[in-house]
Amino acid sequence: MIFREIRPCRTKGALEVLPEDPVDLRMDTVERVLQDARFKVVNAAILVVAKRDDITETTLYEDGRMLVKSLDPREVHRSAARVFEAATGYREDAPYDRYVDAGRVRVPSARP
Amino acid sequence: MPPSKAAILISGGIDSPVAAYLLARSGFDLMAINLDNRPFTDDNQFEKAPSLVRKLEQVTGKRIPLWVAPHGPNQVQLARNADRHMQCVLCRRMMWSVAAEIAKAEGCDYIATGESLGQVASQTLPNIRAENEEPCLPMLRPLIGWDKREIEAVAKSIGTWEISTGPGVCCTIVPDKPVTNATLFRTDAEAAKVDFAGLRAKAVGEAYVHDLQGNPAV
Repeated sequence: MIFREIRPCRTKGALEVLPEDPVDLRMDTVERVLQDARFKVVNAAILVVAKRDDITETTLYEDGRMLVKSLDPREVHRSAARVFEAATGYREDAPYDRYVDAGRVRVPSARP
Repeated sequence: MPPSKAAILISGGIDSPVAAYLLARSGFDLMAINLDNRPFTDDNQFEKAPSLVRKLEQVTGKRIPLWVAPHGPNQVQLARNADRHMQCVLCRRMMWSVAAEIAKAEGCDYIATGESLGQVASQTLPNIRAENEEPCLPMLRPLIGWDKREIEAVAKSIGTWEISTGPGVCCTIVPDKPVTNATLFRTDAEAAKVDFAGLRAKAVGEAYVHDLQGNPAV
């Protein structure tokens, strides 16, 4: 499991995904590798916003934290995994249900 | 003498609709301006602005046209070129500036905001002074000394509370430690790191009137 926690963001309008291990991303590099992986990217220096047809729009910060614009934790896990792997090379092998079992999904609808 | 006309900046939050309501109650004619902050917010947050304006039209009995100007590209340029801790100050200076240009062209005498002192880290007196340098119209801040609970009470009484507090992503580009004591000198210096006038002109040029009756343009 490469993520520590999936939880509501401060205003509860989206879900946040925190990486298990700290990372320190260079956003110019992240922009380039995400574009190579066919993401549309907005690079705002302290964060990038990544979009692709098969994911929900995801904001990735320098420390690896992600904000996925969905309230469905399963979808958030899926989108975050794709963006994080493309940006950092860390592959997510754990299915969503393992996160639920491990108590790492702090969302009321974790297991509908 | 005809009533004064003010352009109120509508963000989707709790405060600006209350400020709009107070101005309308005082006799102002209004137009609303929303600075579209996507992709640093989401569609739900954006949709609050037209919903709030529709509610304000019901409550005040006045027609309130809504203008929308893109703001995301401005945020990108500020973030990439200026001190990250100054993001909120520069963002607001840009918003007031864009809004004032649109408002002036639409015959407004004032622009207005829902700011109240100290409510968020960036809403301090020094910051407001530094942000206030650009607009070409006088600014009205009807809530400047109000307590949050007072504002919330009015929002609930006019029916905007439920809209403002609905689901939505707040600004994602707020820095960890936003400046709370900006100086004019520092703000001018950071603003000079981008083509401020060019960004403003582009945002004004791309602004459009939002159709409050039909489906909102995205």
